[in-house]
Amino acid sequence: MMQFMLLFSRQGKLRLQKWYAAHQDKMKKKITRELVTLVLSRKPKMCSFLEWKDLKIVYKRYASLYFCCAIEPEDNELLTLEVIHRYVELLDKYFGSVCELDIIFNFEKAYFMLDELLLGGEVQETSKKNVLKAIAAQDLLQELRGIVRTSQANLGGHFRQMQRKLPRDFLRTTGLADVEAWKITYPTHFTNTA
Amino acid sequence: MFGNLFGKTTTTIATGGSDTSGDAASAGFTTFIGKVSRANSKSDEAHVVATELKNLAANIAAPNQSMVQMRDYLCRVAYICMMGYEVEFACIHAVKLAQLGTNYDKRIGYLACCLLLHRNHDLILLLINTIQKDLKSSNILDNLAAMTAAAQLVPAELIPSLLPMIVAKLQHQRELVRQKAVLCLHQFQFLAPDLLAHCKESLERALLDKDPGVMAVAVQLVAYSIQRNAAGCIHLGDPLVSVLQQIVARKLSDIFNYQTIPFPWLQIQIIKCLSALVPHSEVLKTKVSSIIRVILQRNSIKEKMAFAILYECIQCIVKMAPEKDLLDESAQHVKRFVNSSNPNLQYIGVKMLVSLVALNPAYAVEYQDMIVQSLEHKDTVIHKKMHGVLYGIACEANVKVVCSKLLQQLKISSDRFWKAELATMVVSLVSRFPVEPQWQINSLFNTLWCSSGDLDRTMLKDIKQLIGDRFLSKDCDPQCQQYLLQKCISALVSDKTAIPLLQIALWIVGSLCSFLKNMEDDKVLMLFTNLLLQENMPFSIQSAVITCIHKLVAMGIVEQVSMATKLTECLSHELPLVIKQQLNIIIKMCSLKLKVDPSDTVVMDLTLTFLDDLVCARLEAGAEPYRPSHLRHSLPGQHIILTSQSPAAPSSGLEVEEVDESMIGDRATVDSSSSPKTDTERDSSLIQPDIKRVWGKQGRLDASKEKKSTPKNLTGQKRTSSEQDNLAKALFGGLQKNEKASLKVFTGFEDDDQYDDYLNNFKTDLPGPWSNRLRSSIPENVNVETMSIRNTGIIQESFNVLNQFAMSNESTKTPKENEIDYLQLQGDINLKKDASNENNGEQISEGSLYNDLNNKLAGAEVDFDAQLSQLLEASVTSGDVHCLHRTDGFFKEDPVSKTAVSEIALENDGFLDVESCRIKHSIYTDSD
Repeated sequence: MMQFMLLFSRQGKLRLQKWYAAHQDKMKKKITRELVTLVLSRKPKMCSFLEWKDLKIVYKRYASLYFCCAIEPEDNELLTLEVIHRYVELLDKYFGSVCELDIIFNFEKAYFMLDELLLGGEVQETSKKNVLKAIAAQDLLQELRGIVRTSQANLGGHFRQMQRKLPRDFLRTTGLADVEAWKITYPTHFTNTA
Repeated sequence: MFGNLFGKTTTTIATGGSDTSGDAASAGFTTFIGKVSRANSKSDEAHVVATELKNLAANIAAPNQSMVQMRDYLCRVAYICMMGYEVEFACIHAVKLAQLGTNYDKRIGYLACCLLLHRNHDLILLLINTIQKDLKSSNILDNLAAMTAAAQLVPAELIPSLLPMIVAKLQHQRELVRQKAVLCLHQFQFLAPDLLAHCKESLERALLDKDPGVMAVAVQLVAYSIQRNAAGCIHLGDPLVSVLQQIVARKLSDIFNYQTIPFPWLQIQIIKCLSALVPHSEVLKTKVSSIIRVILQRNSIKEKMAFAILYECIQCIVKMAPEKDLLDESAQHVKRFVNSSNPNLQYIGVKMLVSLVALNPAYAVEYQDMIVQSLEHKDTVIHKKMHGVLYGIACEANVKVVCSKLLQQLKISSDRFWKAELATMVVSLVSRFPVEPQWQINSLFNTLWCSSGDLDRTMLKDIKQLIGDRFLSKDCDPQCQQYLLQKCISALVSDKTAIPLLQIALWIVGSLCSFLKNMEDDKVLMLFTNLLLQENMPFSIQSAVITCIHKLVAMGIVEQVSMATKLTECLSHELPLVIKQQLNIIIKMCSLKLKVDPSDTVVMDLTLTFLDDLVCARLEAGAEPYRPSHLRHSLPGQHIILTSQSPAAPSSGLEVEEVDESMIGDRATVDSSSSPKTDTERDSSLIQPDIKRVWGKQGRLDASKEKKSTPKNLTGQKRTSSEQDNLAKALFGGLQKNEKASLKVFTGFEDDDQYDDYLNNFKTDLPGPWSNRLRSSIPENVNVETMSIRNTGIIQESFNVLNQFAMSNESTKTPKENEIDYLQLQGDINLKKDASNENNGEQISEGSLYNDLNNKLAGAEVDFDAQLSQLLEASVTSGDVHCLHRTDGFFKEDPVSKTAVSEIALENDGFLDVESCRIKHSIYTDSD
């Protein structure tokens, strides 16, 4: 089981943190500080696994961001590396060539995405399509409102495209055929705009 | 991905980041982030954040805020929280947003809750309502959000309030909901495994779900049960194998492919489960090995994910310990890993090599050169792992080289965990390959030198045991022992020695102290007194030193006069009172020339039968019955006596002279006053024609008189009349006759007077057959509660008397031996007690006894401590932790301090370190 996941920049600034095992705030800060220094001091050609205290640390750098996971000794390090990769793929797909700033300004989206991929430290959904489907479903309602309110938003990737799409088209493309189940809760003005 | 980062970062931040921000990032948020990233120092940043927090706090609490604004504020708060600042004020608003918001707002509210709260937060209780409501909602998004939050936030005690609703969601028509429900239950399972016992069936049904995504998470759930109880989950083996077969045959939807590999996460999860199940079923083993063969064949080593699967397969193979050919095949794969240019794969390769080599060291042969090279590998991670391979290939021929390599690492490393691991390896090598004793001693000592501060207690205990078994038993080579002693002495002399090593060294020196005879007395004494007087020496070491000195005196290793003078000098230094008390005892022992000749096989008079008659005589003579301490307080008149007898405890440490002269006397007073009567009172009430009192208020009375009186007394008793015999029989005969009777007498004593008699005689008279009586009469199994309450009292008393006797040179035994008797008794009782289930009532009454003892002893601090330490010592040795708690009053009835105490007891070899217990306890509670 994954114990925690940290995203931090090359400057050591924390961008995202998710703790699956309980720690006190003080401890979290201490762990973060220690790990950031440890990981940043590693040279590029070194291996991405570290034995740290009684945990294993798996980290990977994407551009200026470090993704750092702590797993238990019996977990598969290579697999964790792929979990990180999958997460980055998802972010990339969603934001459209993602960058550090996307994660800073839309960090709640990054968290939602992570919650769909991992829950309580266990991999939940490994199919990229399914994760995006779930996220899209959640975004949908916000987007509907977004369309009503403003159309000049300049957004990235999937997110950006979605805003321009009509909800029904979107539903069809993401394969969420049975709309009825949650139609009830759509905002009333939805039908008007559509 | 992340490629376009740099340009974007600089420009956006400079302009306030307004162009990339999505819908969620408001102007306020972007300005704030701009400000924070422009802050040059930590204090600048703190200033910016403080201002922002102030604004947020004001805004968030203002009435009539729209949901969109609220959302924005909470996002900012969550961001600030991530930066490591205190944002407690916003928690309630997060809960409110989750409750009042709809759809996206609700989702943000839940997210903020997840980020700001934790499982034990007070507000979770408020959130539970919201979660329940959302679980009932017909909107699946609400369901999903609620379950995501529930999985992360709900504490074990609130699970029952949600469980039925979530279990119901397992039947939901949408696979997304089913999947979340399974994972949510998985989290609950971690927190409270037993709560889910009743819905096991529906959980296992999830394994057969038509949606592969749901099935995949159900496998995780199953994996947890397998991890907990593999033998009970054998029936899951076949379904898992069939799922794995389907995956490998690519029968599942290709949306689960990853880098062209079908459902790799599920594959690995299933392989993991199977490798845990395999040791319990032979049938499964053949099935698993065949499917693993298939996977190994089909695995194309082009994708990174393929390596992950390969890695898992090999781990499974190693666990199965299968036929040679499968192992050989995996060795081939390992070779590919080890020789890879990718450092990650190399690391995994070495790791697998470690486990392969553990099965058969021959696999390492072809990597000889590589191992030697990797020992100097620049990446510490790989070179650390290589030491594991080294450890694996160790045999009698090369163990010395391997050990020296490991010790070398141990010397230069500063990583605690790594050092502990290395030390474990060295110690296990030494225990596995008992070549040359000198090398063994050297290796162990070097390990301790380098790492004893970092080792945990069990490790230190193992080392002690190893040394004890190999070098400290009687039939060991004296030369080795001499060598060991030299090592220890050099450790004792050095001022850089870590505390655990000092402790072990002292323990060894104590066991081998007969060799110290060859050393000059002065040197030996200096060795110990220096340690004792060294500043900042922990109590544990001081007490260990005292134990050693005890042994020296008892064995007559050093000349007793010089010992006494030297120790008297020590008394003038600042030392804990308990230590001073012990020193006083030793000095007294020296002056009395007490000694145990090691060549004599001392036959302990454990029976002490010669006292039977004496007690009867005393009773016959109308001796005042003894009143047990727990009854004493109920008599109002005696409170006064007690208080008048025990003046207020000295506020600070006693003056040295005072301690010197009065300590033993004081103690005796208290000991003998365990009966409520003062000495004068007793004089008047007891008719004791033959016996002179040994212990008076002012200390020990003249011993020479006492000496004469005792034989007289004993001869007198030989003429006991049949009447007395009858009384004796009535009282104690049953003790020997049969269990049932003995129980009656022993546990119930019919009425308290009898019991009092018993104790009183025991106390005022010679230590006699009573310890034997006690021993022989401890009932086997029944009614242990009452017994132990009283027994502890009896034993305590007996111990006091025995000790007094030792002091007065009346008995053939030294206090030490008496102590042993006492401990044995105590141990016996505790054994019996263990046999029966522990019972609250017992603990309480026992506790009151000890409390009583405490109160009584509080009169003089010295006595209190000494008594306490005896009690503690005894109780620790016998494992009676309850007694320990009661006695001290510092230890609450909690498992943490219990472990702390018992650990300390282990560490100190029974000599309990009161101070460190207290400290330890406070540390434990603080860290909690």
